[in-house]
Amino acid sequence: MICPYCGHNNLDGLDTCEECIHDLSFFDVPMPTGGLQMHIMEDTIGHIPYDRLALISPSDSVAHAVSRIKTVGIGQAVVVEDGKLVGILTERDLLNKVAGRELDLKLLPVSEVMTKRPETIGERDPIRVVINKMAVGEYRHVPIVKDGQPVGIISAKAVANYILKHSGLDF
Amino acid sequence: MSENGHTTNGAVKLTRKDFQTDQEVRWCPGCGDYSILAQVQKVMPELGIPKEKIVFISGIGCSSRFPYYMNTYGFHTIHGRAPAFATGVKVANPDLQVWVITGDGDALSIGGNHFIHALRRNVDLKIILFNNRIYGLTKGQYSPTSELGKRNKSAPMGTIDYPINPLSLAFAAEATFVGRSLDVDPKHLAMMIERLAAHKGSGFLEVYQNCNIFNDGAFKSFNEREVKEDRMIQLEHGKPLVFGKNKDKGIRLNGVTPEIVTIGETGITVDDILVHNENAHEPNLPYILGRMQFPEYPVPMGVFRVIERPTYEQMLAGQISTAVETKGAGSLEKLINSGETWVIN
Amino acid sequence: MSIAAKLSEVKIRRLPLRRPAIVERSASIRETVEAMKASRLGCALVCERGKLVGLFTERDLLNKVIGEPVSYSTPVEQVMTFDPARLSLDDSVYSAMRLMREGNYRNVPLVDAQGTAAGVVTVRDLVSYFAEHFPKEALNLPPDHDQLMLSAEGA
Repeated sequence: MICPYCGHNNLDGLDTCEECIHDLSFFDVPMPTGGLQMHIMEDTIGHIPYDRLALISPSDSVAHAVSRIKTVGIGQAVVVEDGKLVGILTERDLLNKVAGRELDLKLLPVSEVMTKRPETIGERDPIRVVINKMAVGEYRHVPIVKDGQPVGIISAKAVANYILKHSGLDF
Repeated sequence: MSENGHTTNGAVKLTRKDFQTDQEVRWCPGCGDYSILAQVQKVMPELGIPKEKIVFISGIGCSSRFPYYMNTYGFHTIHGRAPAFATGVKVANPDLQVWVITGDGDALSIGGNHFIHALRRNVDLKIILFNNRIYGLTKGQYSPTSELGKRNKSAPMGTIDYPINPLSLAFAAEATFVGRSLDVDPKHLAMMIERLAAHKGSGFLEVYQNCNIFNDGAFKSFNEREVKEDRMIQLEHGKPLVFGKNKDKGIRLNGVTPEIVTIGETGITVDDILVHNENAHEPNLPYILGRMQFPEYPVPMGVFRVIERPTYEQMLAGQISTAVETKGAGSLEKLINSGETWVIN
Repeated sequence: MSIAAKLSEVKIRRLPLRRPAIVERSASIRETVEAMKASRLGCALVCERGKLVGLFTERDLLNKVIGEPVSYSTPVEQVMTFDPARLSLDDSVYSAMRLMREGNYRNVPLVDAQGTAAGVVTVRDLVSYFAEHFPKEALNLPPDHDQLMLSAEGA
């Protein structure tokens, strides 16, 4: 790799430059270079608008959860117990576990339908972490927690819009 | 979407999180191994096998840190010997699903011999070889798959070793499943891991993995997004070997030499193109495909060969039960104390 | 190639898209839901003789069916989004992102020149595309973000 201090062409992965002895170990790892790449490495989750939260408890009925979700006007609810996040109830859970089945939603507790132990992120995590969780983990909503308590939720839509904003295209 | 629901028979469905450990994952930032780990952890829950029935065995190297990061049984063994340990584990416990995680240095340098014989014996092992074309853990010496003339720490004037092709070696070792994938194509990698898991017999998957510290961009010349459609070819059983952005190029055999032809030119039609057959008994055609390298040819990815044959542990169990039926169960103590023995005092 | 140029040039057909459920407009909500579950996607393309006429998504399921006095035997055309915004496989990834943002959509059905249903592009396909575009920065990350390593390792 080319030494950024003296320009010498070193072998890959050397810890120090052969010519000028500068430390090269920082430059091997992914560094923010510019444009979108820099944004996803340096900007934190706080840079993306959070979605509103609908809070429910595991013992609430699914009927109550659904009406709460509709009132807040979004598509999922975050399940808390003693203030701490224990699960998430999304449209996908409703599709897979509730739709088309003969169930009395007023008797079915949220705890039986929610996704337990969802993936979460912190406000100070860089954006690339949430991109990874959505791509690899296949989630569309990732709750943001602080000391175990949910403070917001990030949607794939918001991430896609953020990417578009920083992609350099006229928008 | 992740679901922590229950399967129809009441067993708890595993999720990706169940396969994660609390160990600090100590690969370099940006390493391709993370992608492979993520895809293995994604595929494992889909197999429906309880965690205590899965074992990951590795040798030495960056790839071989893998078992620490999987919440299953695991063995971190000595350099190059993972296939030997794995053979023992599988033969003694045929109901376990045994995975071997190794690298180009571990499997092809010191471990070459064990690699050949584990594959030859058709023990039901799933061997994933992380090929980064360098010795990563020891910080940048060339490996048996490094290109001729590559400059690095142990060859400052360029290597004078001819590299070996792991797929060619696997075919020579009679592996019954041979495949290749990439760390930067997660969906293809997940599909290949699933197919490898489903195979009964010696399975080998070579994964081109990028070591961004000591050999960055080793595969960039053909796997970069803008060029990959023209420089790589996806193998699909029963389908013609067609590639290119416009799907207008194909592979045809001229005697035993593959050649690239353009469909629509000089009277070439899609019927002239070679059709891939994964299940041919002899690995002649897959061998030829495995030799295709960039820049002369597009690099093939996918399942090259998959055949079914009785596995080593099946045949061994058969022989043991026949022996027991005909000669009785036997006693190890009697055997040890048989013949001439002396007591020394 | 810069990301801006890529987004405008790369066509939707180059993304690894998944096959959505496709149902007739007369199919019941129950049949549509079963098809959606099997496809592992959050929407179903509603067609008439192969031509796209509507889109039924999880959001429609939530807002118009679950907890509402609607029977699952009702034909899906009564609860679908009629004449949805659509793109073709040869439109650019950029146009998909713009349409999703402008319409607040997560799923955009794809049709060919004759209006025949040809697939769907979802917001997750786009996020995955970006993760794969930045393998070292976004794809190759440890399972737990707490484990993010800051420097290179070695023996």
